[in-house]
Amino acid sequence: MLEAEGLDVFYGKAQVLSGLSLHVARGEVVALLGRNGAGKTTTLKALMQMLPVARGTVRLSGTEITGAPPYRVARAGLGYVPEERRIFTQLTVRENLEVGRQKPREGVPAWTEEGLFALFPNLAERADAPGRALSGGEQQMLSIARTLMGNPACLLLDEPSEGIAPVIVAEMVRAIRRLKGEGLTILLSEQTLPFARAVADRVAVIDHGRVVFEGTFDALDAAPGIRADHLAV
Amino acid sequence: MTALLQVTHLARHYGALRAVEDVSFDLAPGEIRALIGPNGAGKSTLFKMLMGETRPTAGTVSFEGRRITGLRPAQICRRGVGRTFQITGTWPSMTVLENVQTACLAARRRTFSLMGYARRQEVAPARALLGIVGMAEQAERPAAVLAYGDLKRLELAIALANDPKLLLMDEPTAGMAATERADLMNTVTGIARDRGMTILFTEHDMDVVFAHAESVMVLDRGRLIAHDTPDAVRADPRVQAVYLGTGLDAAALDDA
Amino acid sequence: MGFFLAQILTGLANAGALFMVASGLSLIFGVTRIVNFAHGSFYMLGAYIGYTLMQVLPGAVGFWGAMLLAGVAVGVIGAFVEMVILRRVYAAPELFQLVATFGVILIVQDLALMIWGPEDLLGPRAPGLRGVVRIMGEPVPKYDLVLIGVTPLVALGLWALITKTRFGILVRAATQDREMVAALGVNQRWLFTGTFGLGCALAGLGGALQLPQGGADLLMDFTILTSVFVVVVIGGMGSLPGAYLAAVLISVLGVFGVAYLPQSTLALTFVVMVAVLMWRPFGLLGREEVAGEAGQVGPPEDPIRPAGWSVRAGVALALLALGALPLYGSDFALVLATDILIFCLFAASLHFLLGQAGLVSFGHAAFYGGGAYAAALLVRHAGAPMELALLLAPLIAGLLALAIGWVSLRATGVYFAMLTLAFAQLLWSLVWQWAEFTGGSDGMVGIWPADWAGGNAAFFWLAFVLCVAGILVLRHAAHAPLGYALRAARDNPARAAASGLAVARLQWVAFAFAGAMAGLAGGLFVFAKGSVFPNELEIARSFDALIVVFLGGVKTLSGGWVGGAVFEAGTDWLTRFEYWRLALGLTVLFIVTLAPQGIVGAARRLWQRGRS
Repeated sequence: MLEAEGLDVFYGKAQVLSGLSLHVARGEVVALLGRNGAGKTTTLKALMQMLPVARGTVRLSGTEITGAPPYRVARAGLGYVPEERRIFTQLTVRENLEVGRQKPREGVPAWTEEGLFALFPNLAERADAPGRALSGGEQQMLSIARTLMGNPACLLLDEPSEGIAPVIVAEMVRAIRRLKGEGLTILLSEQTLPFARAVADRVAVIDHGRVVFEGTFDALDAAPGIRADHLAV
Repeated sequence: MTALLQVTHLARHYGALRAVEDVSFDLAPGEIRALIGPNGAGKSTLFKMLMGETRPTAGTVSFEGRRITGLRPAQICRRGVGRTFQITGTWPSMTVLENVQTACLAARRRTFSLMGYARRQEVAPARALLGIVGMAEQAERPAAVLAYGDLKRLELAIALANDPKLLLMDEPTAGMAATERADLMNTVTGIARDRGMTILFTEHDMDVVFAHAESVMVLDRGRLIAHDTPDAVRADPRVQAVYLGTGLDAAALDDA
Repeated sequence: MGFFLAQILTGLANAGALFMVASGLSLIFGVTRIVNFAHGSFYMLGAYIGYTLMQVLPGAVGFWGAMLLAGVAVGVIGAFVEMVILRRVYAAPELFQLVATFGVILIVQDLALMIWGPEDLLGPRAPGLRGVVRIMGEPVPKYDLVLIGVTPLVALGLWALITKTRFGILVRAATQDREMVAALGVNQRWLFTGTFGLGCALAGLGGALQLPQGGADLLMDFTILTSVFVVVVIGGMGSLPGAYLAAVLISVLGVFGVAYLPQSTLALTFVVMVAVLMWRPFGLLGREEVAGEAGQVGPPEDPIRPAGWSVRAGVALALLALGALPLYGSDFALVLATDILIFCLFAASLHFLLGQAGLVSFGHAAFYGGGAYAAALLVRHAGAPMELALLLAPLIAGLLALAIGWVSLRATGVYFAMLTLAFAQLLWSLVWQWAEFTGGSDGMVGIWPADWAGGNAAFFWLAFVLCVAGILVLRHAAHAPLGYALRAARDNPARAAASGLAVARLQWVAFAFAGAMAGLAGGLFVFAKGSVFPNELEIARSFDALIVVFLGGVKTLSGGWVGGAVFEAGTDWLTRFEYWRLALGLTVLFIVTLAPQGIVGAARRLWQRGRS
């Protein structure tokens, strides 16, 4: 579904990704683990073509999207939910969803406002409230719902559990599992192992801009060195 | 012993939101204390008020017996309070050494000077500080290309340039690997002991908190709900309810 | 009472055009982050196109149709400009696009001159609305009443467009976070083009609407710009109700000013603006700006190094050759070289402010012209010798900068920039209105240098020594502790303050320092020319300096004087042509699209590429 091969990304002179390769199969949920500054957010942004990729290729459903403008990547079916949520605080919940709306896509679930309100009941109650009035958890839900309005085939979630109350974290786990149930492919970045374990099928650990481990959680547990050296857990 | 820092009935409201409410505590000279609490509990707001970046709605802060509420950050810095930021603060257009040199120039109050080349001034003290935080080999690199953990070390050196009596550290080890965390905190506590420096730090990693803090304060929804030794805080049922006990654990999530 | 009401009505009528131009500017800035200097030009085009259409189209339908069509036509022109020019420079550092819009101003000025000629055009009266109605005994033009009615309708239509349609939702979303909007699958390019076209259409409509009151002339592009900036600053960038409120406030204030205190109209406006900003630094209904407006977006520049010995030797040789110019150059070469040196110092002073302190000033001519007028006034009214005048010019300009900086530095980013422009304009109008002291539009002539510096060669040497010394001092300041402190305050103000740096005071000092250096350049200019006119204080002069700094390269140490030398020499050559503005505008656009890092930045890149 989503394949990245040998990505190099620079910020000024600093190389933030070096030869990063990653594969996510259709219908799979993969967790990208790594500490702050390891390159998780950069990876997701590079996949979304929001950062210039100096070397390497990104393919979505077999089509190369490297170097395409982000709006075309989004229209090709890649959905992006940023770490800081970046909801439009001046717009209402409904208007936020409207910004994300795109035409239905063949072979993937088509989302409607009602469908998303059913997935995130909290949002239904706040439909006409401005984004700034939402709590951190509600903003996270809105950010995900807004991206789903574009009916993506593959979803990139940047640290969905970051800074939200534990009760909401459980709800987020439920929502991600439902999305997986709907057949969505998901790549999510995380700092916390337990959350990743609760939602993901497979895990990729990155450090210094490259993948240092890829495999199942059992394999990760069997390699304690990876945890100590590369993870903040 | 008289208190170094005295916080009385400090509060900050944003409209109806009470970010910090009626917080009072003292810090004794040489003490190392942690401030913990869930995200949004008001830790950063409290730090901002201590440093003069945000004006309190009510209450006062005194340092060495003199009121510092209402002073600007630069003035509070000159009284002897240093701080590091949650989002690491350095000056990316300079080299590592120049970052520390600039901080040293600020400490000597030479920043309005047009005399000489800044890069030839304060070299020795700046190098000494870089040595202390373990960044001596990287002195000539541009700060913009540093790795995350090194940025944290550089910021520590910058904050030490003024030889502060009190150092406020906002999540000093966030995002570092476990081994790096221990290294950095050992460095910090070592400096504190050598210089008799007092430290107040916020932190999410409980291993760091319980290994390095002499006492722990817990903030929840703007209020101080506990202040005790690390062991007592760990055992406090209220703290477990709002913070410790609700940390992510796999079992709880699997039930979800 | 009747008089009072009539005044208010006149003010409301005048607010119409102002509101449309201001809301267009604010809309464009919100989405594209471009401060459209050329917005006054689109307003002017609206007036001219409306005028021509009214000549062609018959009757009342033709009159009103011409207005609408003028708006549409200007909107299309705006969209064209966005697609052909601005699209190429969005990737460049923020504020660099200013240079492009400045090129557009020059081109539009000459095109309007070509098409419509230099004469002011008197706007036709609206059919059936020629007379006045009496309200409580006072005459109120019928057309004013129409304007009073039309403006809220336009505002309402705009409001509906922005709040109710998908386009409006996207515009508001993009105003907050355009990168995110793109990540959600919205093609920003068309959104930008649409917004730019809409904003320009509003300006064009405003220009056409005021035809029956004001007509069309070639100066109206800059004339409206100051008021528009003031309105936007008072109302708050990006707020439609704010723009309306501020437009009404300023217009009504203007009308009452004319009635009661004719001398102080502009001053009154500024008192209100300063009061509003003291109370609300982001305007009545504005919000805090977040993104980096300081011209410092993108990856940080490399740490600076003092030049090595080889470079120093090279510079010393070049200076020696330049200093020996009187030995081999013609008189013409000497005069031109003197002009270039003076302009280089002026540009270098602004470059210091932008590059080191990260403060973008739109009104740096206040200190250049301020220094020039200070020197001229000292000679004229106090009989001061040249030496004393040249000594005091930078001091007075520096003091002026202290005063203006005290107010302006309360604001940040684009608000700061617009405030500086407004203050420069205040100074300009002061000089203009206070004719018995300053000579007004006639300027002051016969301000000649002392006898020893009277010859072309002698004055060249004087300018050479002072300008080179000034530029070297500015450059050294970047390497001195002050420069490091300023860059620390620019890079990360919170970190700087927590390290004991007095951020606000540092910026204030930098502002005054740059102002004093510009004042020295201004003082030299007066004696070089023997005269001074108000145009040394006008917006175009401030823009010249700004353009030069961006063309030279903000993130380089030599950008200021290199850009200054290229620009001044180029202008000297180009002004020999009849339509030199057109040529200069095209040249500027050419450089902008070719070298978005500026001349020095591009040269350095080529050099690095050549080496690796």
